[in-house]
Amino acid sequence: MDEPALSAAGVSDLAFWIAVPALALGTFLLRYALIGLIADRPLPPTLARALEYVPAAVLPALAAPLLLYDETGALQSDPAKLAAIAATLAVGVATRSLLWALFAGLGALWVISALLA
Amino acid sequence: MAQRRGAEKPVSMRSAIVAGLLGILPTQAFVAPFGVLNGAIAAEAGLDLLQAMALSGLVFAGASQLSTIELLSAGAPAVVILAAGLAINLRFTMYSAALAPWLRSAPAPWRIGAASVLVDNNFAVAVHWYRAHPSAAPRLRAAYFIAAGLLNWLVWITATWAGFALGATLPPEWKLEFAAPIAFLAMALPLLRGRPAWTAAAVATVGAALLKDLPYGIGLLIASALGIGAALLVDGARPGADEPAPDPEMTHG
Repeated sequence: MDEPALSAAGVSDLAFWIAVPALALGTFLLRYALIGLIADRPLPPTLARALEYVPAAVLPALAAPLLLYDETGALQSDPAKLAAIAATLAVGVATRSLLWALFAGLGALWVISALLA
Repeated sequence: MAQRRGAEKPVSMRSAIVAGLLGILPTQAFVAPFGVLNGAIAAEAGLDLLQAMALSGLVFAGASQLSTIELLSAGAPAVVILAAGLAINLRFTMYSAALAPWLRSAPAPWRIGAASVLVDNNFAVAVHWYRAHPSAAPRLRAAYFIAAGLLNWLVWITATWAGFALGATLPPEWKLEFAAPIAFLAMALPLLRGRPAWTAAAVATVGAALLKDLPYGIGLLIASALGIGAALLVDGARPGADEPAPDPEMTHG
């Protein structure tokens, strides 16, 4: 490829082309594991429960630093972003719907941003 | 098959495929906008079109695609990107376990095909259809799954492409960089049923916030492990715990 190792926004092409094919293959194996490979054995109950909690832990852990701190590392103070967090939490807990929570959060982000602009 | 239920029509290959396509269709109301958002975030982060399409086409799991983009932007090493993505996608193994009784007697190519396109929403509609059509042969069950999954995949990659084209034109006032963490939060909330899951989320949130200055990705892994451990401790207090019940209609990717 002709491109430099770092694209304009600072994404490493090398890290991308190592991580993404590996992630694609690994994710296929996670999908295929029990349909195809060890179909006759149920998971040990503790392992099954641990698997159940993985997304519940990982997704908030991914989101928290990005939501709670701004680019400089200070606590989040952008009113539009704080409103987006509140709207996502309120609608997500009330409806238990990813779709509505996402719409509420992004709607609040963009409406408040526009009002303050 | 001697005792076929009176109300149930025999299922043909054609009707299984049509049922799969029709079953997955309503969920595209979510898949399409989420795919557009994913493509726009990829463009915003500086991925090229080939990278955005490779992510959606090969990984085909929205939450792990967003985590990959975030961690790439933060300069995380490939091994951390991989570990975070696999951790998020571990739920597919739960779906795989739930599908095994229905699909395990289908021939291997059919099982591989079904596994390749397994995501949240086709899992949900397929299990519903399998319960309603218990006499359908394993091959037909796999055909239902693959038809639903392929339509899902085509919409997803098309939406990614549209979002990528759109993303480059979006003004910075839209604060698109904040869309990914909002999406993570929106994906997590429907999963939080019961005390152990809330405990996992709370411990992981506090841990990740406190550990944010570790090189990005390390804090994520430690905080996630603490959250899962705390959930198991809380869960262990109730020995007759329910079997894991994924709630696949709530999330995609």
